[in-house]
Amino acid sequence: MYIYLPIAEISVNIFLILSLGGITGVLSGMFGVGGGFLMTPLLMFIGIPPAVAVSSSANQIIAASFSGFLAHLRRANVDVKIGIVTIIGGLVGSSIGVWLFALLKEIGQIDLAISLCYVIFLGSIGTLMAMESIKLIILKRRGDVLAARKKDNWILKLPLPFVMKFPRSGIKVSVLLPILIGVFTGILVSLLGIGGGFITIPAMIYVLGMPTSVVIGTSLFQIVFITANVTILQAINTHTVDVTLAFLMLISSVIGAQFGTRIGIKIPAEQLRAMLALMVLAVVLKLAIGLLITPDNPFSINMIE
Amino acid sequence: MIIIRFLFVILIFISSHAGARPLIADLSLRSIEIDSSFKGTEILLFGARNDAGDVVVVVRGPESSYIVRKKERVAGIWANSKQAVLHNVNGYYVVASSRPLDELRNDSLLDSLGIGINNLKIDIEAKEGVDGPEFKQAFFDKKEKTNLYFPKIGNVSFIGDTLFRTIIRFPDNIPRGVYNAEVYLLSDGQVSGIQSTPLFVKKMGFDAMVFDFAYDYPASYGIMAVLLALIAGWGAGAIFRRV
Repeated sequence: MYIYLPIAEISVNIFLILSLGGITGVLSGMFGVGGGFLMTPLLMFIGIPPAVAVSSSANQIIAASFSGFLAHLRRANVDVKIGIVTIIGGLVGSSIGVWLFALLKEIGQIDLAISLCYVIFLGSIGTLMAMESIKLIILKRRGDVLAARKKDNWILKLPLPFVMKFPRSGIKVSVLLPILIGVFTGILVSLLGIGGGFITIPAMIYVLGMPTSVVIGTSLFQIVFITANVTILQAINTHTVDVTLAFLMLISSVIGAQFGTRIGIKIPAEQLRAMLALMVLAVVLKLAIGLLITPDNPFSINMIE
Repeated sequence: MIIIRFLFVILIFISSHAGARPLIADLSLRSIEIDSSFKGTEILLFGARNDAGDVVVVVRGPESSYIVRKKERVAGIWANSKQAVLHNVNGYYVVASSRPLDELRNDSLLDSLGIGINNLKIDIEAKEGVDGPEFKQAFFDKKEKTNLYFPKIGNVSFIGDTLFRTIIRFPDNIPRGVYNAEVYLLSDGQVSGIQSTPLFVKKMGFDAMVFDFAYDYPASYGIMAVLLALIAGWGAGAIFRRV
């Protein structure tokens, strides 16, 4: 059964979209990540214009993050104050991101920019993750005791201004740090269509020194607002948000995530991480090949309003 | 088909009584409505001539500007580099004729009427060093591939000496807007009759509504997309908490 996507302006097989959403949902449930970094490239692979894939992913992430955020809020695992400071940075970052997106779209380089950003950004993350998890697996096989990760707090020792107290997390940091995290997330959401949890969560733990219990809830809290802002800005400036596509993705990924969470529990953490890293690298490889091989038709045509 | 036959009867009636007009023609449909189940359609163009001569039919889609970009290898990566903008281009274009166009032996007339793909008046805006015609050809190739331009001239067939008909095919990806079906009667190297009939292509249904909403009220559309996602996220949480 085919469905016409009004903004992407193509017909797609509805079951293909639903199964892509389902698979991403299962994976995100298994690994505890948002899954946007898999969803967006997969959509591009089946022929959705990259710009539409990115913006609709941002729209879809709102739903997944909001449902996660509510669950954490019920357990009071959210540092609202630090979340709000991060959101302020996020609004700035997403405005920069969407402005850049619109500019690249106008000069016809947005598709290339999205692919390049994915290759560079995901490529380095995937490589780091793969190296770390392979190291862990080898250490565990040898039976060595895993060394606890050192808290590297040199950033916190920098003499930064505007220090603020965050009682829920029990920390005192310069507001510039959470603002910076927000700016970075905002740019990631608008240019790549990913929530960026696998950057913000480690940053909140290791850079801000927040307690692990509130990190996920707080991260989801700020992602809801940043993705919402990106969705509205993209709708206004670039007309790339496809609600039909976003809706199909979100219902299937929510259902998939429920299964994923159950599968995830049975597999050791370092093996999960290695699998995730391999998947990230596979996506990167496919995108990189797409940039390097000679296209069938070098010409592309777009109607100007 | 009954309606078409009925129209033919009227036509014959008109053509025998109102002999002053050398050419008269009409379409079996004056508007096309595209919904999500639209798979393309065919329209019958029919008419009558009161003089001898060749009948040439041209159907033009709405005019717009297109940007054509060409990928080139830059530092090993294929990236859009050169571009050209084509102005006043029909989104759809088809020609049918009672005789092959080259047999009409009147290239200057066909050229001035814009009949035939090579006679289309297209403004190419390109920087120096960009081969404009190459980009125009790429545009035509793409349009032909998507069945919006037909390089082959269709056939206008006669029923007797006066009545003629031709079928015009519209694929599922036709742009919306006002189309124009032009019928020319050419004899002795001149236009002895001309008729132009508008054809409206409209998009209907949910998809068109979403598209119009997204472009006409982008801020409301964005806010609605956000609210929809929030409701879905909340709903999913509420459902799965019980499972």
